[in-house]
Amino acid sequence: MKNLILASMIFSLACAAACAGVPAKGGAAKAAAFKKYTMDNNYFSCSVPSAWALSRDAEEDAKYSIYEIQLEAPQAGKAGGTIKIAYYAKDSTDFSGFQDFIDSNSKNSFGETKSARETYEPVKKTKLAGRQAFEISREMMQYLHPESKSDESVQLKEKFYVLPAKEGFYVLSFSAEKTAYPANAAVFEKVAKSFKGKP
Amino acid sequence: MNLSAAKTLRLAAITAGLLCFGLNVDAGADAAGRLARYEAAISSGDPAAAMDFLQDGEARGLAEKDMQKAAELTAEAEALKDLKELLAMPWKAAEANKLNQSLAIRIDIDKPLSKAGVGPEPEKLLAWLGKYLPAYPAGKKDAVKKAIRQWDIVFGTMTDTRGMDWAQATQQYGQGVNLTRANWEGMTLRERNTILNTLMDTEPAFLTYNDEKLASMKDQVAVMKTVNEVKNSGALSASQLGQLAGKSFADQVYLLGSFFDGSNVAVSADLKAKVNAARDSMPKEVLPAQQRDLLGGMLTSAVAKELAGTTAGDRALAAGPLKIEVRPCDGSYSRYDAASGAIVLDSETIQQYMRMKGYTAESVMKSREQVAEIAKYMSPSVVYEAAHKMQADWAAKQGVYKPHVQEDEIEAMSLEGVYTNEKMRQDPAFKGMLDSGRQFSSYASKKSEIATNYRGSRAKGFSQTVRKFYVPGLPSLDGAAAQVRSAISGELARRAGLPPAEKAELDSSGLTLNDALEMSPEELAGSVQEIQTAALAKIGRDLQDLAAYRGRYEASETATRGTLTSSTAPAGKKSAPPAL
Repeated sequence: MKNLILASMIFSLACAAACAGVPAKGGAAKAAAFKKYTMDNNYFSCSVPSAWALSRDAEEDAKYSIYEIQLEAPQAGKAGGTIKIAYYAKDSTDFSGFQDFIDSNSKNSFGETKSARETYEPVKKTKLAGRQAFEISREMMQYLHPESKSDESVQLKEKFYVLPAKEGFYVLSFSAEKTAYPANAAVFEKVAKSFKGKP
Repeated sequence: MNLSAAKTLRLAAITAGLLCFGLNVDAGADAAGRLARYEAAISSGDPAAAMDFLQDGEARGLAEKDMQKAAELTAEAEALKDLKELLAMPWKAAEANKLNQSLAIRIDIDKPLSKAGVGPEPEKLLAWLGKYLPAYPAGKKDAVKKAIRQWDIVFGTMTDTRGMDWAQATQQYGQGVNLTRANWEGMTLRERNTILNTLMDTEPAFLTYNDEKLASMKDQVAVMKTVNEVKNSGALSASQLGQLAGKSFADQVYLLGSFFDGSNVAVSADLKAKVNAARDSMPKEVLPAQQRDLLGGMLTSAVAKELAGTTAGDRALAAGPLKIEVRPCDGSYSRYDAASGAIVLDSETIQQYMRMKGYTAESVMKSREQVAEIAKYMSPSVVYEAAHKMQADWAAKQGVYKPHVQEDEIEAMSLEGVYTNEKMRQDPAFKGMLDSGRQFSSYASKKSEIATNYRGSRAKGFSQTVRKFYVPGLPSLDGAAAQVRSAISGELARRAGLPPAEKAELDSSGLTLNDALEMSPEELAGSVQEIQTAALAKIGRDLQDLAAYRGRYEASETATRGTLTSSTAPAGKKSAPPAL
């Protein structure tokens, strides 16, 4: 079954490569070629940058009822970043719904929106690809060795679009080191704008 | 796209998927033919063939007619699958040291990957990437090149020779060691790391290849900055400044702590707390061995009260009676001592808390309230180690070999993350303690951050974070099993050719099963020639089918997975889209 899903996904990508996405405007997004990606069961589709590495673990997706792809920028360092597109199906138990996801990602564990290591922008109501959405932006330091006494950390900048659906919800996110964030922010916006999910 | 077109495309996709499926596993060919093809492809490192083989029950069954050959083939296939999954993670050049740790335990002499042609020379990984993952992004390839310590990256492209000091043989006296590109390219990653660790002792530029050493240097710089802030504040007397002159920074920060003690040095409370958190303990704040033993006993009952009433805490308590000990844990906040069954809490972290609160060893011994505070403060670490206790107890009960793997850390850190979140919701004193502590103590800051990360990512996302950021140097369960099985099957084959007397001698005087069960995968793989045959065969059987191991991890995760969900929304109720 896993092979069938994988093969189906490969075929979808191959088909999609033939019908590449609309050229983007400006910056990295303008230079990048896009192709269409369709998740199993047509949970969602979107244009993804051809040069980015796409990965997925179908077995884990089925286990958690969270169907997601991860896109890794072709350049590391100052032009790096990771885009994730995820569908949290109605039977997923990790979050009770989109509001739980928003509440859990727009504040730290103290319920703060600002601390010495984190800054969360207020959650914004917005529209994405013609549907209602919530936007979360945040910057945070992340420790690399939490169980040892080393304090080495990396500074991340992240943006999420959370889209409610009749059954489950969607999360589109972009995460990069703060200095690398601007280089590929436009690519993420282009992916987000091309997003189509179940109502 | 209209509905009809979509339906057609979907049908085509399904059809193509079926065709691809058929091609992938070559279902039309007989099992013997497929097995032969798998053997050839896996020996040349083909990850797709490796994954197909692992899913082809018929071919695996056929391979098991020769158990040793089957074990080797399975080990190589699992190692290739594991390598592909490792490299699929979003590695950036800045994370090359973590990738280096992950690769160093996988690519080495006698490892399954080397038998499949990916090693032991690290550059073979680049060739493998080019052959089997040609679309691998350039940025990630850069991270891989840095991770394998490619000569050009480490020493530049302008030279093929590098001189270096080696112990007493220094270049200054014309006795240094010359390292050539050819030497380097013949070394394993482990050997390259040893050379780099030696180089960084004398040349700070090489610290970039060791996150721990680099972070330690940064910590020292932070302490220097704090000391200078106090010295430049104008709050110290000329005599006090005189005492600081010429001392090391560690000594200066200690002396500053003694100046603050019981005096009115006019620097901010924040700066005082920073100095007190950074300095060594004063004699009255140090817990001597006897008092540490007493405190351990007192914490054993205090911690049980602290954990009760939370889902994760109750789960930790269900691990059985928790025995707490207080001892130095070197660079960690805690550890589980499987030999004594005790959870060991780091005495320096406890002493740091005492310094921040102004407690002394004597006051703690006399105050049940201060002990309860320490139990509260350290309780996330107790939960984390309780998960390790459960893992060790399960292995002992089952009587199986249980290597320390990434899945263990995912389980332990997830349990801790759930506990800290629950506790912060239920217990304002606990929340306040982490809140004030995080400004001065990386322990409190890290416990808070694990809670934030678990809360935002939950079971699936958090497991990805643990694998990638927190413990990339540990093998996965699949990787560890593959490594051990491969070493065992090779050794059993070697023994089959030994004279009976030599084999009997080995079986009577070799290391026992109990000795082997204590070993890490690395140690076991490197010691197979010294272990009794029956012990090797037993461990090989343990690792032949990993379903029992996986079942335990899954059961553990299921026990806590919904905890935060049920506390943020009524169980089973899904949010409906809001009106915008």
